[in-house]
Amino acid sequence: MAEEISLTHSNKEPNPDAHGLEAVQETMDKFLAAASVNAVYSEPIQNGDTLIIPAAEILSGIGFGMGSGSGPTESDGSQTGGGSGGGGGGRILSRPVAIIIADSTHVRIEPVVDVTKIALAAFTAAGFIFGMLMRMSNPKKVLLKGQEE
Amino acid sequence: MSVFQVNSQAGKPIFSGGIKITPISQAVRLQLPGAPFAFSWNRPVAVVVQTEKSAEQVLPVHDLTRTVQIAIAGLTLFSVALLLILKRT
Repeated sequence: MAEEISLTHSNKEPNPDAHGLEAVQETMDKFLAAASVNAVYSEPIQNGDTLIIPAAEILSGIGFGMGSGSGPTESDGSQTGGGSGGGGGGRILSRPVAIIIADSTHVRIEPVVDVTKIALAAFTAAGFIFGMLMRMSNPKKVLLKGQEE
Repeated sequence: MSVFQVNSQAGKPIFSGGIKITPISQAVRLQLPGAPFAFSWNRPVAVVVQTEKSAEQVLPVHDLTRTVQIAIAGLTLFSVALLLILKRT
C-alpha cells in the first residue's frame, strides 16, 4: 500500500505553486526573525569607562504575490502556452528611541527626540485646526457655495 | 500559530564594570495564516540593571517622540471637539 502511494506521488508533476508558497513562508519567517532583540539594541560602544547602547524601534513589513495562467484551449482539448510568475518586496524602518549610558557605578537612559517628526505633527495639527476655524467662521459662504453647486 | 502575537524578549546580558545590563524588547507580529504578507514592530521596553551590591532594578525606556506625537494628536482632537461644542451652544 505504501509503495503504491509512493509511486503515485512520484508520477505526479511537482506543484510549482506549493513549492513557491513554502519558499514564501520560509522567507517571511526569516524576515520576522531578523527583527529580534539584537536588532533593537545595537552593539555596545565602549568609550573609556562609559558604555553606550543605542536602542531603536524597528518596523518591518513584507509581502509576496504570485500567479499562473494558461493560453486558450484548442479544439482537441490541449492548452496552448501558459506560465507563472511572482514577486515580492519588503521594507524595514528603524528609528532611534533612546541611548543607554552605563558607567562603573550607575546606568541612565537618555531619550532621543526627533524634532522633525514633532514639528511635522505640530504643523499638521495647526493646519487642521486653522481649517476648522475658517470653515466655522464662514458658514454662510460654505452654505451658499453648496446651494450654487 | 496565532495571527497576532505580542511577546517580550530578553537579550544577551551586557557587563559594564560590576553592572549587569539585560535589554528587554517587545515584538508585535501580524501574520495571517496563508496570507502572503507579514508585519512586525519591535521596540525597546526596558533594561534590567543588576549591581553586585543592590537588587535588580528595571529602568523603562520611554519613547519621547511618540509620546509627544500622541499628545499633539489628542490635543488637536480635543480642540476640534471643543470648537464644535462652542459653535452649537
